[in-house]
Amino acid sequence: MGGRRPIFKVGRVRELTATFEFVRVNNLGLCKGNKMTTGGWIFMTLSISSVLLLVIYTVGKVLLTANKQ
Amino acid sequence: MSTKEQWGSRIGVIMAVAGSAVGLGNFLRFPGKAAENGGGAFMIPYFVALLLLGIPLCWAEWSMGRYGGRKGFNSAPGVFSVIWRHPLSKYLGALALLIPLGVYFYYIVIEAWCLGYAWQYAIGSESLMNGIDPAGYKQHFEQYTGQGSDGALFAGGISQTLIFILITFALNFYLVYRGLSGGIEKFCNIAIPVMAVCAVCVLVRVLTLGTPDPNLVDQNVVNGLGYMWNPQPEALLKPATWLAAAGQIFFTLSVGFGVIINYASYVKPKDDIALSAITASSVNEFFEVCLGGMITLPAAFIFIGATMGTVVAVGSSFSLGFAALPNVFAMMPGGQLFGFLWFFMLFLAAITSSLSMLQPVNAFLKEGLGLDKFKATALLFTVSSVGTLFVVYYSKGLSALDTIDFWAGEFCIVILALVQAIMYGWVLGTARGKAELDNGAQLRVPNFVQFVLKYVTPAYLIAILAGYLFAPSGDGKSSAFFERINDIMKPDNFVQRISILIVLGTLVMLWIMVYFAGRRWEAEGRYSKLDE
Repeated sequence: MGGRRPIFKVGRVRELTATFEFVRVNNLGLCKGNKMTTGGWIFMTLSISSVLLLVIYTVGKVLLTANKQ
Repeated sequence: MSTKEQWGSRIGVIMAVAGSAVGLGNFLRFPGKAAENGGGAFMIPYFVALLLLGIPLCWAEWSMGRYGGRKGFNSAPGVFSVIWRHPLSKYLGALALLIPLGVYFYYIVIEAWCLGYAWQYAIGSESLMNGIDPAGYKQHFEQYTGQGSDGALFAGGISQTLIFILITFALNFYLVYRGLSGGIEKFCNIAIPVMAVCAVCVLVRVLTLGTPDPNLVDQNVVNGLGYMWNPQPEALLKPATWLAAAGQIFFTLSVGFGVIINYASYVKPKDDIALSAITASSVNEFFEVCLGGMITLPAAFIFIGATMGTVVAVGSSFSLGFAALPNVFAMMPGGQLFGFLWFFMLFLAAITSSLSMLQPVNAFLKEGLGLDKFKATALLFTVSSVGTLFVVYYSKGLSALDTIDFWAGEFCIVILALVQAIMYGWVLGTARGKAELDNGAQLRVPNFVQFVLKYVTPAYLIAILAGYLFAPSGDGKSSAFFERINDIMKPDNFVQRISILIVLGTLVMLWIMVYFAGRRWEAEGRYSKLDE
């Protein structure tokens, strides 16, 4: 494999496409298979559920207290 | 005497701030950063940075903005000048005008591309619905953006790109002219929910793709999610991972951008800001983690993986996103509809951000130079037209756009955030800051946040700044900052040098305006009234 060359250049605009650049340069690895692991499920579930809880809590609190302002 | 503008509702200001924060980076930058820096494990430093850097800085900006608003100022130079009663303070505040204005110069162009692509999907343009053709899509994008040569978009009559730039420009100024509540707030109240619906539609489509190519069973949606979320714990031992997470949080929340401080200044003195700030941040996180983290990489994994050979041939220019996405949609069942929804959603994400870039300068022109609504908008239109025209004309390789993006849209933001953190923690003081935050608060902010804001956040920002200045990048020898400096010195980089002059010229122009604004405020006795 060798060392992975830097993918992300500086500049936000250029990074808009870095996602695809990243997929592209890593594609050989992807094609060999990149199974979703238990750790992947755990991190995905925890991250999404914690953000969802935060949104539900804050937006809910704003809506419930809207009349008090 | 003009009547003071205010938000129409608390939900309106939350939507406007969230709209400012949610941008293209939520969908395109975050997934790449996460996958590059440890996958699921990236979320640990990400959430740490959110708690220690992002949300505290948001609270600080909201507090300073509302504090300045109570003292009668809506623009950063005015707000800074009441927090730090020193002649220099308002010139530091000019940074909070330079950043949104400088970014607007090019952001409106990208916004127009998104609208243009959405339009092309809506009408079923053959240019974007031509099967798997990475080279063709790349060529189309380069022609569409005039990357072949400077002035390409003006050759041979008015191009479609120019028409969409004019439309987006006109729409932005129409909404800004309509005012804070009647224009920006009303638009964001509609745009954010529509954006969420579009994103959820695309998300459902991506999650129900299954295994599009039965011959490539590993390239399915579950493994696409795995590529994004599988943790690589060893990444947590690398400082670069923590720096990347901090940078992502920092940019995604629009802190240090000069927008929140302006928006918060219009909040009524007794209204809550503590809950509003965290709500706007959480809405942004929803778009980033729950939608951006679930759509882009899985879709790209499934389809770009299938065309590896041809996509590799596309090359690694910054235009790859606009060139690669059409391949994804071309292979996706219902691709025309979902292509439209995707680019229209990106357009909405962009316009809610670009509106927030105009408002801080618009507010300054009114309160600093005493211009009425029409004159302020007309002057802002003229200045931003010149900047955008420069970016549009010097389109070869998107060099002007990229240079202004780095200096105004990245480097200056870190500087301004640091200035604001020091201004809050050490000049306004955490005691006054907390009192402002607690005034009307419907959420109790823990006391340790003030400690974080005084010590941890500035240290974090200094680390990010040091990363920019000294951490190796690109060729692995010089830092991003010095790489840019070296680029400017090269004899053939004329456009880069002019682009920097545009940024510096804009800053000098703003400083001159700030000078006259300061004299005006002194003459009106606005500071002496504060002492009474």
